[in-house]
Amino acid sequence: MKNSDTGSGLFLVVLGIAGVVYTRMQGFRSTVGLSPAFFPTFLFVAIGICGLILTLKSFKLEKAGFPKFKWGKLAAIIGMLAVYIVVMDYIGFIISTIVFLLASMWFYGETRIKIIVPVSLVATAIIYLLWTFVFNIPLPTLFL
Amino acid sequence: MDFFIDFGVIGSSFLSLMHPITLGWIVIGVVVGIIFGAVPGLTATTAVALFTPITFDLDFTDSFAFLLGIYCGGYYAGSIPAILINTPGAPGNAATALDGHALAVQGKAGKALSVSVTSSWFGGIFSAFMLLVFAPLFTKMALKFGPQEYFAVAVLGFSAIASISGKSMVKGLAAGMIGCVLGCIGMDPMDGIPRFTFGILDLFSGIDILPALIGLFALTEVFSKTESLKRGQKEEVLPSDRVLPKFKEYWKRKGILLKSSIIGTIVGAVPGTGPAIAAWLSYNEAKRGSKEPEKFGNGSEEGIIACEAANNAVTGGAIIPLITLGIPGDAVTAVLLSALLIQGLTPGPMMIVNNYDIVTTILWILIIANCLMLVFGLFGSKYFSKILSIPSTILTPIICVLCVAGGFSVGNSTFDCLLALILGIIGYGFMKFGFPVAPMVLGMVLGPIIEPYFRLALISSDMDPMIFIKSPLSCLFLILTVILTWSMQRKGKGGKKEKKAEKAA
Repeated sequence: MKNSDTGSGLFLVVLGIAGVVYTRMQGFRSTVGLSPAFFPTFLFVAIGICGLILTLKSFKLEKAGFPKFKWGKLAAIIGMLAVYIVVMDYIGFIISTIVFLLASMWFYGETRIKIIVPVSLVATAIIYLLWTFVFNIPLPTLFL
Repeated sequence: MDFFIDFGVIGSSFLSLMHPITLGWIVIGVVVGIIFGAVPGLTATTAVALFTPITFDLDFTDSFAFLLGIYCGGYYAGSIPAILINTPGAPGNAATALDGHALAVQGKAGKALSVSVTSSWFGGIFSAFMLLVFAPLFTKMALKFGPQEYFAVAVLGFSAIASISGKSMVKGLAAGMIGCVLGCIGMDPMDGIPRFTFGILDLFSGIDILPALIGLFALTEVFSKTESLKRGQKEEVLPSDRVLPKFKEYWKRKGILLKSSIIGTIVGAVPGTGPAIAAWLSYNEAKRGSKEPEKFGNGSEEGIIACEAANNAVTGGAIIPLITLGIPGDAVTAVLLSALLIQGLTPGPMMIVNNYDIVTTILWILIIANCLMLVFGLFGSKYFSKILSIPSTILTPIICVLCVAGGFSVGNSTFDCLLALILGIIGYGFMKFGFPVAPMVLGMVLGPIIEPYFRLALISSDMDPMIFIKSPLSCLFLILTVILTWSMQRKGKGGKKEKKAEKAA
């Protein structure tokens, strides 16, 4: 593959085709006027055309590599966020947030205990109190 | 129906804001906006997206006092990192970095910050008054709108966004279309048939714009910082001092101030444009008319005045299409649209007819927020370098928690938090491959507006597609769409100077 635009373009073409096929398979019918499938089909066709243009234009560009991802770092923060969100329902906002803040600050390189412990406790307390008592938005608690 | 500026309503709206709690919300909003605008990577959009869910329980006045405070403060504060660390806080401040940082390097950071906040204040106040004058005029025109005209205006907004966001118009358009597809998820607006829900009950009501904004704007920044952060990394922040503005200096430059504010207001009022275009247009215009064009790029105060007056004039201008047509001009106003809907208000021509006091309240909030922004900007300039010194290692995890708490507030469920996370991952992947995320959000907002109006117009004309051409206003908007897209493409997404500034930053 010549460069990342070729890959992106082909991805859009595949997305467009898959979208059109999936929309057609749903067999949407309308009682009045246009079918509910019309707009999404139009969009998927347009996405496919954009992909085709992008692919064709990419052949005129210089050969270049794909963008680099730092997979390890990204997977770690995404994993931490996913666990934090899921666990919050079970152990409540306060405990999960303190643990998340401690872990993520450590992960980002802030290893001074005298900084991360008070910041985690104070930030959690401020956000919890603001949400619960000022904005009247209940956050999950352990005993819900 | 005849209506225009009603001074009685304007006065009573002002008095309704003179409540300590409301004023307190404006103060908090401006401070939050300045902090978010000043930290590179965070923007006014991120702040408004994060804090809109918490306004569910507030009344209209307090809710908008807070959000518009963030809006004004955030738009201005992007100039602080542009001046002090040569990194524009938002694309609209890229031009400010050219002259602002040059002045800071010469030891005049305080002067640059003072010029920046004073010009921002003037632009913001000017556009707020323009909102008062032009919103009723727009409404008079919008009252004649049928589905075909609304469709055409939404298309105008959509195409303009796609053409200006990012380096590739094709990628912008594709991102906008993908946003529209995401907007199709849920019940079909005309027949109530579920589309693309994959049997997930939580998706039947569609994807709420707030988790999308949190994911696409805030979490993408978190992921970007995660990749770029290095242990012990510190940004070089130039020191700043307090310099108060002198009336004489600005009186001398009244022409640039006024011209830039007019450009900012007009550009802001065109759906789909934004502060970056306004700032660069004004910068070029100021340079063209300047007696010292050679100073531009090397620390010209006129350059900062032009960019910042135009940048903040966009705030009032962008609200005009939002409240008169119900069509957001950019990503921030898309969030404000959600905030209006949360308050049970439906923006559009009838809103001004029925709720003129809301328009005047917005006007006064903008004016008060701009005045507070001036005070904080002038007297807080000594502390800005401290905001920029907050380590990302502490700030990024706190932003993550705010994202989760904000996402949870949308529907009191962690489903929206997970949705925000998934959209954040998708958005970041797209960003890495050069696809802008702003058109995706606008697609999500404009798609559900375009589709029902398109289908309604066809039904009302017995499926005759010529209805869009036969209506003079609709035809005019579609022609404007073609002209705007063509001219934007010719300009090459912001021009060479923007690229130069991006490189410099």
